[in-house]
Amino acid sequence: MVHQAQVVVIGAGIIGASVAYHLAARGCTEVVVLEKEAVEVTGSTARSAAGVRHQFSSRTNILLSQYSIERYKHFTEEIGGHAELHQHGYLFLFNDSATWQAYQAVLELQRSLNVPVQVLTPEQAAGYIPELNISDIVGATYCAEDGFVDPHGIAMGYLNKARELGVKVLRDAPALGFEFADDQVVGVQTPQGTIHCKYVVNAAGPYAGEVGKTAGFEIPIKPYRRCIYVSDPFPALPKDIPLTIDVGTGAYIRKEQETVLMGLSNLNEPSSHDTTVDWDWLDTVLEAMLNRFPILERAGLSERQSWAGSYEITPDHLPILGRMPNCPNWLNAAGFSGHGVMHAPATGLLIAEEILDGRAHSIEIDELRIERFAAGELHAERNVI
Amino acid sequence: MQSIDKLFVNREKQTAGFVKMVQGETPKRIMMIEAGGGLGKSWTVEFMRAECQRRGIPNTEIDFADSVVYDYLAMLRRARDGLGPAAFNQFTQALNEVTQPTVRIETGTANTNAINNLLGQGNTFSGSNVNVGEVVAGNVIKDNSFVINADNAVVRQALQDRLTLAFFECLTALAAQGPLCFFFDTYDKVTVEAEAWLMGHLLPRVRDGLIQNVVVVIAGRSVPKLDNQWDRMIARTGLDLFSEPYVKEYLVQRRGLIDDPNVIKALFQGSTGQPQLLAMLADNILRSQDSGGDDDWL
Repeated sequence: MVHQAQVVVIGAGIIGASVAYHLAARGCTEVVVLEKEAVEVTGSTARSAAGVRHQFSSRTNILLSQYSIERYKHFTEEIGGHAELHQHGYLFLFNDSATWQAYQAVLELQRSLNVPVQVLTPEQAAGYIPELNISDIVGATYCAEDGFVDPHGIAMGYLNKARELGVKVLRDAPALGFEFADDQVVGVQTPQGTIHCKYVVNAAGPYAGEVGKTAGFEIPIKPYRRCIYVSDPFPALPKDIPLTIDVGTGAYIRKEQETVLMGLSNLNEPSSHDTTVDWDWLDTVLEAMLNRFPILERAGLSERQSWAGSYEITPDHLPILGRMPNCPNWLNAAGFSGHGVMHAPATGLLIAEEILDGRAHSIEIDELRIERFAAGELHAERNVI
Repeated sequence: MQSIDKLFVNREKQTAGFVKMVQGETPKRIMMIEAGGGLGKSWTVEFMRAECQRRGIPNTEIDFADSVVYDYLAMLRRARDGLGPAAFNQFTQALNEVTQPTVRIETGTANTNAINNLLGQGNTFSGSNVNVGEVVAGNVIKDNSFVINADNAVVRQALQDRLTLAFFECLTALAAQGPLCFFFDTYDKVTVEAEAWLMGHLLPRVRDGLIQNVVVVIAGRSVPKLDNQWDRMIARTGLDLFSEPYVKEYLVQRRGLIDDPNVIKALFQGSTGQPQLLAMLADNILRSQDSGGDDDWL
C-alpha cells in the first residue's frame, strides 16, 4: 500500500493518465493515480465518440486542440499505446441563415489562429458524403486536420509510460474522503488507507463534481448520458468520410471501420450516471439522420455494438482547469463537456506546469479557472455536439 | 602550444570533485562554479573537458559567450553534435520532420476531388511534401533547416515538446552505456530559451534520476539559484584567487619563467593572484624575452 505521494490523481481516464505521464516525464514520479473501478480506462474515456477537432468557438479550446492534435500525430512512436489518429476532417453543415451568419465570426477566430478551415458551398459539401441531403443547406465548413482517435489506446499509452517512470495506479481505489490542514489538502482516504500528499488533481471526469463535494468544494460539473448508435457494416459510406455534423439538429456520423457511428444529444435528459443505451431516443436520432443522410436508410442497426457514455458538462461547456482558490494544492482537470479526449495532451502538460512551475504557461488558462463562475465571466463554447 | 593540463594550477578541489562525479563516487551530479571575472572558470571547464577526453567520456560544451544565439533548436543541436550525432538518430529524424519545408498546393477547390477527376480513375492527389533530410548508412546526417515550421506558438510548443521527448530518449539510451557530461559556461549570458530548457528539462531529469550517468557543470559569474530540494545533487563551488605559492608554481613550473623571488612577489602583488591577469603578465614577460621578433622584416 502507498501511504505517501507528491501528487494523487483521482481518475485513471485519459485526463488522469495524461496528467500522471506529464508529471512523471518532468521528474515528478511520486504520483499515485486512483481508479475507482477494477480496471482503468473503462469510464467515459472508453465510451467516447473520439472525435478531435480544431473547429471551436472558444480561442482556448482551439489552442488546446492545436497542441493536442499535434502531439497525437506521433503518439505511438513517442509514448507507446495506439493513438490511431485518422485525420479525415470534420464537416459542419448549416441549414439556418442566421446561424450561418453568426458563425462567420467563429470562422474569423479560427482563421486568426491558423486553423485551416475551409468554407464550402452545399455542392462542395455534398462531395464528401454520398447522397447527402443539401436541399436546405446554406453553408458548410471543413477542416482536413480534424478527425478521430483511439481514446483507450491513448490513455493506456500514457498510463503504461507513466508506470515505467514510476507512477503507481491503484485499482478499486475511490477517493472516499480528504484530510486538510489549514487551507491545504494533505491526504486522500481510500479503501486501502490514507495517502498523504502535496497535491491532489481531480480528474474524475463525470464524477468530478461529486469528488469535489466530498472535499467540501462546489465544482459545477454534472454527468449527462450520451448514446452512440452503431450500424451494421455499411461499405456504401467510405471509410474516409469526415465526421459530419448537422448543426441544425446536432446529429453527427462518422465511420469506424465498416460501421457507422451515429449520435445526437438529448438535451432534455436530466443529469445522471446512466450509461445504458437509450432506445427510446433512437426514433428521434433516426429521424434526424435519415433526413440529412438518406443513404443510411439502407444501413442496419447493430444494437449489440451501440453504447452510451457520459459527458461531464459545465455551465459554459468549457473545462475547469487549475487550482482551487481556497485550496491551492487542489487542482481540477475536468468538465471537458465532451472534449476531454481531444484535449488530453495539452491538459496533462498544463496541469504539470501548474504544479511544477507554479502556473500553467504554455497556454493561458485563466478563462478556464473555476473563479470564472463566481465572477460571472462566462463565454460559453458554442460548438458543442 | 602547451596543453591545458600543463598550464593548470590550483583547481585540484574542483577537478577532484568532478572526477568523483563522473566515476559515480558521489550522489552529486550537478556542479555549479560561481566566480567573478578572470578567476579561471572557463579554464576549469576546459580542464574538465580535457579530463573527459582522456577518459573517453562523451561531452558537450555550450558557452553562452560565443556568437550563437542559443534558441531551443540551437541548444539541442549543439548538445547532440557534441555528444555524438550517431546516438541521436531518433531525435534528428524528429528534427527533420518538424523543420521540413512543407509545400501546400492550393487546388482552388474545396477539396482534391477536382484534381482527382482530372487525373482519372485509380490516380489520387493528396498534397505534396518536400523532405530534404538525408539518411546514409542508417544515420540521419542532415537537418533540413534551423526553423521549426509551425503556424503558431502552440503548435510550435507541441513540436518542441516532441523534440525534447526524442532528445531525452536518445540521451537516456546513450547514458545507459556510461557517463557523459554537459558543460555550460558563461551562464550569466544564458538565453531565455536555453535557461527554460535547462531548468525545465535537463536539470530536473538529472535531479530525479530519470537519466543516470549524466553530469552537468554550470559555470558563470552567476549560476542558477536552486532551492534545498536540489542539495543532494548539487556541488557548489567558487574559485579563489591564487596564493603566492600557486603564483610561483604557475609562473615557474607551468610557464617557464626564471625563479626570481622578487619578480614572483611583484607579480603576485601586481596581479593580486587573479589567474587571468597573471596569465597576461606572464604572456607579456615571455614576449619581451623573445629575441627574434616577427617585426624584423619591417
